[in-house]
Amino acid sequence: MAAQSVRKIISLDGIKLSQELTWLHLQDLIAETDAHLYFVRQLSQDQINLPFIITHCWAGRLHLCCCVPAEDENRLRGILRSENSFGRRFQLVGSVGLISMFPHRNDLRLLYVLIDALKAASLTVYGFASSISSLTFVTDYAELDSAVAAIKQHVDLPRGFVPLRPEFRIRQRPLSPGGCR
Amino acid sequence: MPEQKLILVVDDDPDLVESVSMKLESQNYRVAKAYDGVEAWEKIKKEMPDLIILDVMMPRKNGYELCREIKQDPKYKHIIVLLLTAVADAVSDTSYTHMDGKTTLADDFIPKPIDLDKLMALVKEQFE
Repeated sequence: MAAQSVRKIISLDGIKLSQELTWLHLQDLIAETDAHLYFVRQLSQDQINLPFIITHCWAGRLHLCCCVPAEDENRLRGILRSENSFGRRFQLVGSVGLISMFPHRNDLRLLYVLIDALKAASLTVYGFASSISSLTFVTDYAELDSAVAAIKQHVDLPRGFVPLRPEFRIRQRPLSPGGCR
Repeated sequence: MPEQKLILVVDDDPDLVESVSMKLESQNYRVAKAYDGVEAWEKIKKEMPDLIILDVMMPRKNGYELCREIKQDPKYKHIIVLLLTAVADAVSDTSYTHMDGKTTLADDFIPKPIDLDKLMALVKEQFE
Protein backbone atom coordinates (compact mmCIF):
# COMPACT_ATOMS: atom_id res chain seq x y z
CA MET A 1 0.00 0.00 0.00
CA ALA A 2 1.50 3.31 -1.00
CA ALA A 3 1.82 6.02 1.60
CA GLN A 4 -0.26 8.21 -0.69
CA SER A 5 -3.25 5.91 -0.33
CA VAL A 6 -3.32 6.11 3.46
CA ARG A 7 -2.49 9.80 3.50
CA LYS A 8 -4.95 11.86 5.52
CA ILE A 9 -6.70 8.71 6.75
CA ILE A 10 -4.55 8.82 9.85
CA SER A 11 -5.25 11.60 12.27
CA LEU A 12 -3.04 12.82 15.07
CA ASP A 13 -3.78 14.98 18.09
CA GLY A 14 -0.39 16.64 17.97
CA ILE A 15 3.35 16.72 17.47
CA LYS A 16 5.87 17.46 20.21
CA LEU A 17 9.43 18.64 19.67
CA SER A 18 12.33 18.42 22.08
CA GLN A 19 15.08 20.79 23.03
CA GLU A 20 18.51 20.33 21.43
CA LEU A 21 20.00 17.00 22.46
CA THR A 22 23.10 14.84 22.05
CA TRP A 23 22.71 11.30 20.73
CA LEU A 24 24.75 8.48 22.27
CA HIS A 25 25.10 4.95 20.97
CA LEU A 26 26.81 2.62 23.44
CA GLN A 27 27.47 -0.69 21.74
CA ASP A 28 28.64 -4.19 22.52
CA LEU A 29 28.59 -3.84 26.27
CA ILE A 30 28.87 -7.13 28.09
CA ALA A 31 25.48 -7.33 29.76
CA GLU A 32 26.75 -9.21 32.81
CA THR A 33 29.08 -6.39 33.82
CA ASP A 34 26.13 -4.11 34.56
CA ALA A 35 28.01 -1.26 32.89
CA HIS A 36 24.71 0.00 31.53
CA LEU A 37 23.33 0.23 35.07
CA TYR A 38 26.42 2.15 36.15
CA PHE A 39 25.83 4.50 33.24
CA VAL A 40 22.20 5.17 34.15
CA ARG A 41 23.09 5.62 37.84
CA GLN A 42 25.73 8.17 36.92
CA LEU A 43 23.28 10.09 34.76
CA SER A 44 20.87 10.17 37.67
CA GLN A 45 23.56 11.20 40.14
CA ASP A 46 24.60 14.05 37.85
CA GLN A 47 20.94 15.00 37.29
CA ILE A 48 21.26 14.59 33.55
CA ASN A 49 17.84 14.11 32.00
CA LEU A 50 17.26 11.16 29.70
CA PRO A 51 14.38 12.06 27.39
CA PHE A 52 14.94 9.09 25.08
CA ILE A 53 16.43 5.63 25.58
CA ILE A 54 16.26 2.36 23.70
CA THR A 55 18.16 -0.79 24.58
CA HIS A 56 18.72 -4.07 22.84
CA CYS A 57 20.43 -7.20 24.16
CA TRP A 58 21.60 -10.01 21.93
CA ALA A 59 23.86 -12.93 22.83
CA GLY A 60 24.93 -11.28 26.05
CA ARG A 61 25.86 -8.02 24.32
CA LEU A 62 23.92 -4.90 25.13
CA HIS A 63 23.36 -1.90 22.91
CA LEU A 64 22.02 1.31 24.36
CA CYS A 65 20.98 4.42 22.45
CA CYS A 66 19.89 7.51 24.28
CA CYS A 67 19.67 11.29 24.15
CA VAL A 68 20.69 13.83 26.76
CA PRO A 69 20.38 17.63 26.70
CA ALA A 70 23.04 19.18 24.48
CA GLU A 71 24.36 21.34 27.32
CA ASP A 72 25.14 18.16 29.27
CA GLU A 73 27.34 16.66 26.55
CA ASN A 74 30.61 17.40 28.36
CA ARG A 75 29.34 15.83 31.56
CA LEU A 76 28.18 12.84 29.51
CA ARG A 77 31.69 12.51 28.08
CA GLY A 78 33.01 12.57 31.64
CA ILE A 79 30.80 9.64 32.60
CA LEU A 80 31.88 7.71 29.51
CA ARG A 81 35.55 8.31 30.40
CA SER A 82 35.01 7.19 33.98
CA GLU A 83 34.22 3.57 33.17
CA ASN A 84 36.80 1.40 31.42
CA SER A 85 34.28 -0.97 29.89
CA PHE A 86 32.90 1.84 27.75
CA GLY A 87 36.32 2.18 26.10
CA ARG A 88 35.71 3.22 22.54
CA ARG A 89 32.40 1.47 22.32
CA PHE A 90 30.39 4.61 21.91
CA GLN A 91 29.45 7.14 19.28
CA LEU A 92 28.18 10.64 19.98
CA VAL A 93 26.22 12.84 17.59
CA GLY A 94 25.65 16.43 18.61
CA SER A 95 22.61 18.59 17.88
CA VAL A 96 19.81 16.10 17.44
CA GLY A 97 16.16 16.50 18.42
CA LEU A 98 13.10 14.38 19.08
CA ILE A 99 9.88 14.64 17.14
CA SER A 100 6.99 12.80 18.77
CA MET A 101 3.66 12.15 17.10
CA PHE A 102 0.65 11.24 19.21
CA PRO A 103 -1.44 9.27 19.74
CA HIS A 104 -0.32 6.31 17.65
CA ARG A 105 -3.35 4.20 18.62
CA ASN A 106 -1.24 1.10 17.93
CA ASP A 107 -1.74 1.75 14.23
CA LEU A 108 1.22 0.35 12.29
CA ARG A 109 0.17 2.36 9.23
CA LEU A 110 1.24 5.48 11.12
CA LEU A 111 4.77 4.10 11.51
CA TYR A 112 4.84 3.36 7.80
CA VAL A 113 3.55 6.80 6.85
CA LEU A 114 5.98 8.61 9.14
CA ILE A 115 9.03 6.69 7.95
CA ASP A 116 7.96 7.29 4.38
CA ALA A 117 7.44 11.01 5.01
CA LEU A 118 10.83 11.44 6.67
CA LYS A 119 12.54 9.46 3.93
CA ALA A 120 10.85 11.53 1.23
CA ALA A 121 12.16 14.68 2.92
CA SER A 122 15.68 13.14 3.04
CA LEU A 123 15.86 13.51 6.81
CA THR A 124 18.29 11.46 8.86
CA VAL A 125 16.67 9.18 11.42
CA TYR A 126 19.06 8.03 14.14
CA GLY A 127 16.48 5.94 15.94
CA PHE A 128 12.85 5.68 16.86
CA ALA A 129 10.73 4.23 19.63
CA SER A 130 7.16 4.01 20.76
CA SER A 131 5.67 4.75 24.15
CA ILE A 132 2.16 4.31 25.43
CA SER A 133 0.95 7.21 23.29
CA SER A 134 3.72 8.49 21.03
CA LEU A 135 5.93 7.46 18.17
CA THR A 136 9.20 9.32 18.58
CA PHE A 137 11.94 9.79 15.99
CA VAL A 138 15.44 11.14 16.55
CA THR A 139 16.60 13.43 13.77
CA ASP A 140 18.87 16.45 13.34
CA TYR A 141 17.81 19.33 15.56
CA ALA A 142 18.09 21.83 12.73
CA GLU A 143 15.68 19.72 10.68
CA LEU A 144 12.84 19.46 13.22
CA ASP A 145 10.72 22.06 11.44
CA SER A 146 11.34 20.31 8.11
CA ALA A 147 10.23 17.05 9.73
CA VAL A 148 7.02 18.68 10.98
CA ALA A 149 6.36 20.08 7.50
CA ALA A 150 6.95 16.69 5.90
CA ILE A 151 4.70 14.86 8.34
CA LYS A 152 1.92 17.45 8.09
CA GLN A 153 1.51 16.52 4.44
CA HIS A 154 0.71 12.93 5.35
CA VAL A 155 -1.63 13.08 8.35
CA ASP A 156 -4.63 15.01 9.59
CA LEU A 157 -3.94 17.37 12.47
CA PRO A 158 -6.35 19.50 14.52
CA ARG A 159 -7.40 22.88 13.16
CA GLY A 160 -4.97 25.56 14.34
CA PHE A 161 -2.31 22.94 15.03
CA VAL A 162 1.07 24.12 16.29
CA PRO A 163 3.75 21.72 17.50
CA LEU A 164 4.46 21.66 21.23
CA ARG A 165 7.88 23.16 21.87
CA PRO A 166 9.84 23.04 25.11
CA GLU A 167 9.51 26.24 27.15
CA PHE A 168 10.98 25.05 30.43
CA ARG A 169 13.30 22.43 31.90
CA ILE A 170 12.70 20.05 34.75
CA ARG A 171 15.58 18.28 36.45
CA GLN A 172 15.01 15.09 38.34
CA ARG A 173 16.25 14.74 41.87
CA PRO A 174 19.20 12.33 42.16
CA LEU A 175 18.13 8.78 42.95
CA SER A 176 18.52 7.71 46.53
CA PRO A 177 21.16 4.99 47.09
CA GLY A 178 19.94 1.72 45.64
CA GLY A 179 17.17 3.49 43.78
CA CYS A 180 18.18 2.25 40.34
CA ARG A 181 18.23 -1.51 39.77
CA MET B 1 -28.20 4.82 34.85
CA PRO B 2 -26.29 7.87 36.09
CA GLU B 3 -24.98 10.30 33.53
CA GLN B 4 -21.34 9.71 32.61
CA LYS B 5 -19.19 12.59 33.79
CA LEU B 6 -16.91 14.20 31.25
CA ILE B 7 -13.33 14.76 32.38
CA LEU B 8 -10.81 16.85 30.45
CA VAL B 9 -7.22 15.72 30.89
CA VAL B 10 -4.66 18.43 30.06
CA ASP B 11 -0.92 17.83 29.98
CA ASP B 12 1.84 18.35 27.42
CA ASP B 13 3.06 14.82 28.12
CA PRO B 14 1.02 12.64 25.73
CA ASP B 15 1.91 9.50 27.66
CA LEU B 16 0.54 10.90 30.88
CA VAL B 17 -2.65 12.02 29.11
CA GLU B 18 -3.06 8.55 27.62
CA SER B 19 -2.47 6.61 30.83
CA VAL B 20 -4.77 8.84 32.90
CA SER B 21 -7.42 8.70 30.18
CA MET B 22 -7.32 4.91 29.99
CA LYS B 23 -7.72 4.67 33.75
CA LEU B 24 -10.62 7.13 33.76
CA GLU B 25 -12.37 5.31 30.93
CA SER B 26 -12.00 2.06 32.83
CA GLN B 27 -13.86 3.77 35.68
CA ASN B 28 -16.70 4.67 33.30
CA TYR B 29 -15.90 8.34 32.82
CA ARG B 30 -15.97 10.03 29.43
CA VAL B 31 -12.67 11.67 28.58
CA ALA B 32 -11.55 14.61 26.47
CA LYS B 33 -7.87 15.42 25.95
CA ALA B 34 -5.80 18.54 25.41
CA TYR B 35 -2.06 19.08 25.29
CA ASP B 36 -1.61 22.73 26.19
CA GLY B 37 -3.56 25.52 27.86
CA VAL B 38 -4.76 27.11 24.63
CA GLU B 39 -6.17 23.86 23.27
CA ALA B 40 -7.69 23.10 26.66
CA TRP B 41 -9.57 26.41 26.74
CA GLU B 42 -11.05 25.59 23.32
CA LYS B 43 -12.16 22.17 24.55
CA ILE B 44 -13.67 23.66 27.69
CA LYS B 45 -15.79 26.08 25.67
CA LYS B 46 -16.83 23.37 23.24
CA GLU B 47 -17.43 20.43 25.56
CA MET B 48 -18.07 21.89 29.02
CA PRO B 49 -16.39 19.15 31.07
CA ASP B 50 -17.49 18.34 34.61
CA LEU B 51 -13.93 18.15 35.87
CA ILE B 52 -10.47 19.07 34.57
CA ILE B 53 -7.21 17.38 35.48
CA LEU B 54 -4.83 20.19 34.64
CA ASP B 55 -1.05 20.17 34.49
CA VAL B 56 0.73 23.30 35.68
CA MET B 57 3.79 23.44 33.43
CA MET B 58 2.64 23.58 29.84
CA PRO B 59 3.65 25.53 26.74
CA ARG B 60 1.60 28.43 25.32
CA LYS B 61 -0.60 28.83 28.42
CA ASN B 62 0.29 27.27 31.75
CA GLY B 63 -2.12 25.56 34.10
CA TYR B 64 -2.21 28.41 36.62
CA GLU B 65 -3.26 30.92 33.98
CA LEU B 66 -5.92 28.62 32.61
CA CYS B 67 -7.25 27.77 36.06
CA ARG B 68 -7.57 31.47 36.89
CA GLU B 69 -9.45 32.09 33.66
CA ILE B 70 -11.83 29.22 34.38
CA LYS B 71 -12.51 30.29 37.95
CA GLN B 72 -12.98 33.95 37.03
CA ASP B 73 -15.54 33.18 34.32
CA PRO B 74 -19.10 32.82 35.67
CA LYS B 75 -19.91 30.42 32.87
CA TYR B 76 -17.15 27.98 33.76
CA LYS B 77 -16.24 28.55 37.40
CA HIS B 78 -18.38 25.61 38.55
CA ILE B 79 -16.05 23.20 36.74
CA ILE B 80 -13.93 21.23 39.20
CA VAL B 81 -10.21 21.76 38.60
CA LEU B 82 -7.54 19.39 39.93
CA LEU B 83 -4.04 20.81 39.40
CA LEU B 84 -1.11 18.53 38.72
CA THR B 85 1.88 20.00 40.54
CA ALA B 86 5.16 18.36 39.66
CA VAL B 87 7.47 21.05 40.87
CA ALA B 88 5.74 22.86 43.69
CA ASP B 89 8.45 21.97 46.17
CA ALA B 90 11.42 21.44 43.87
CA VAL B 91 11.41 24.63 41.83
CA SER B 92 10.40 27.28 44.29
CA ASP B 93 12.46 29.94 42.52
CA THR B 94 10.35 29.85 39.36
CA SER B 95 6.90 31.20 38.68
CA TYR B 96 5.57 27.69 39.27
CA THR B 97 5.28 27.88 43.02
CA HIS B 98 2.79 26.48 45.44
CA MET B 99 1.83 30.05 46.30
CA ASP B 100 0.90 30.65 42.68
CA GLY B 101 -1.15 27.50 42.82
CA LYS B 102 -3.18 28.71 45.77
CA THR B 103 -4.18 31.91 44.00
CA THR B 104 -5.80 29.95 41.19
CA LEU B 105 -8.68 28.68 43.36
CA ALA B 106 -8.13 25.16 42.10
CA ASP B 107 -10.32 22.63 43.87
CA ASP B 108 -7.43 20.36 44.77
CA PHE B 109 -3.82 19.51 43.97
CA ILE B 110 -2.28 16.25 42.83
CA PRO B 111 1.48 15.75 43.15
CA LYS B 112 3.48 14.26 40.31
CA PRO B 113 4.46 11.53 39.73
CA ILE B 114 0.81 10.54 39.79
CA ASP B 115 -0.48 7.64 41.81
CA LEU B 116 -3.34 6.62 39.51
CA ASP B 117 -5.35 4.93 42.26
CA LYS B 118 -5.14 8.02 44.46
CA LEU B 119 -6.11 10.18 41.51
CA MET B 120 -9.15 8.02 40.80
CA ALA B 121 -10.17 8.21 44.45
CA LEU B 122 -9.81 11.99 44.40
CA VAL B 123 -11.87 12.28 41.22
CA LYS B 124 -14.59 10.07 42.67
CA GLU B 125 -14.62 12.15 45.83
CA GLN B 126 -15.29 15.31 43.83
CA PHE B 127 -18.55 13.90 42.49
CA GLU B 128 -19.89 12.63 45.80
